[in-house]
Amino acid sequence: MTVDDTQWPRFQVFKQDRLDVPFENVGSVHAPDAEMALQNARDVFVRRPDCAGLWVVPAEAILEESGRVPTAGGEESQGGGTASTEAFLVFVKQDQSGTHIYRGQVEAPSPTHALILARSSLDDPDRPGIVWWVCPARAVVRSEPDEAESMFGPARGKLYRQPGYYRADSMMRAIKARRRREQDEASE
Amino acid sequence: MSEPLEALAEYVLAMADDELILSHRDSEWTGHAPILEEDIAFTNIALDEMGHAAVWYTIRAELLGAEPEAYSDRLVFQRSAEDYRCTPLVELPNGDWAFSMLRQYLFDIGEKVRLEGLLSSGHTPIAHAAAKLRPEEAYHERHTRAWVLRLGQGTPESRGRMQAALDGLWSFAPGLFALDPSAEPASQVGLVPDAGRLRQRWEDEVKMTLNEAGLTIPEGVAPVTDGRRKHTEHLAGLLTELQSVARADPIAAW
Repeated sequence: MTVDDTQWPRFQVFKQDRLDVPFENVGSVHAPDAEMALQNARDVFVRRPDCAGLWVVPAEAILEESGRVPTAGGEESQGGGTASTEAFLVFVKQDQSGTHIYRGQVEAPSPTHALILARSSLDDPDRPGIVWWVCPARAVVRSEPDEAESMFGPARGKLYRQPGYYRADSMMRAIKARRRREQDEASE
Repeated sequence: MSEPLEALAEYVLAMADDELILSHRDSEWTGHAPILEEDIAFTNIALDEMGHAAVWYTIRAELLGAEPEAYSDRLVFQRSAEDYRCTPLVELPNGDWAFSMLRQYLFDIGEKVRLEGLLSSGHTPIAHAAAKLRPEEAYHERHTRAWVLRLGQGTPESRGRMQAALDGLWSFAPGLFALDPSAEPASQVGLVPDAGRLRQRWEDEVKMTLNEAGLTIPEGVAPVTDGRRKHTEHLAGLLTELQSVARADPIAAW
């Protein structure tokens, strides 16, 4: 860390809206550690209802790749089949305005290998991924299912956080509509 | 209305006032917290506590047969300091981040043990409300406890600030369990949990966390036990700000 860099580490946040849809990248938070990152993620990204789970991953644990397929080579491939493997999570973005969505897991000896494996085995030929992320599964900190009620339940009962809850909104519309009518009448 | 139910309405008022005033203090951090994520997190907690206050004011209104929304607004915006029943702990100015985090933590554990006790209240709406609010409190505790531990175990500066916060707050904290005399009959008939037992459970739990955080619990400090009718000089100023907009146009519709 340099003198100028007083920021806490950054964590990418992945949110699952319902149990039957994949986790999706919603943005990032800064936090001193993973546990606080998970809490910050909850407060920043679960203000509105519809959340079944959260993952946070240190941004530095993610290897990103876009464009051409990397080739296995250099130091990482030396030693060949003797290297031990571990599980990597794979996220892929399919269009420029989209986000990274969880695609699945691969077993690989290194992040680079994981990327190659992900692109060859998890791509959708009809909608090829344009930016790929992999991170070791051990780097992911996940919300606990038995904490879902306290983490995500309360947002459902908080309609007052939505602008539509307030009459001020409809009153403002009425005032604007009246102004428009008055202006129309004046110009006739 | 029977005496115990009247007393219950007073008990509920004290809970609501504690939540409201602490919520306002917490909300003063909005835009000023050390980092953006914490700003949002603590603002969330402030909003939650205000929501809890609204729940208790509504229950009081129903006990008294008043229309909940108008009655709650009147209680919040048109009452003067001497009619509030909050405890001094929640009135104290925010101090630094350590002070605000520790106060919120001490309050959260107090609220947790109280809600657990209210689950078996003989007044059903209160038991239901307690069940509804508990998950939210579990989240607050998780957040504020994490901060107490991290600051307590952190750098010499963070530890020093947390210790100073504890030294400043410890005598005020037991006031959370103070009962206004008008609320006592509710406790005698089992509508609300025994305050002494709540305080003991609270003390056991917060002492464990404070020890884990490496903090020294002040000894021989007499608790501030002035009840809920004597307020610090800070409450009047807080209410002036809290009520300024509503008082500027008392009949405005929101």
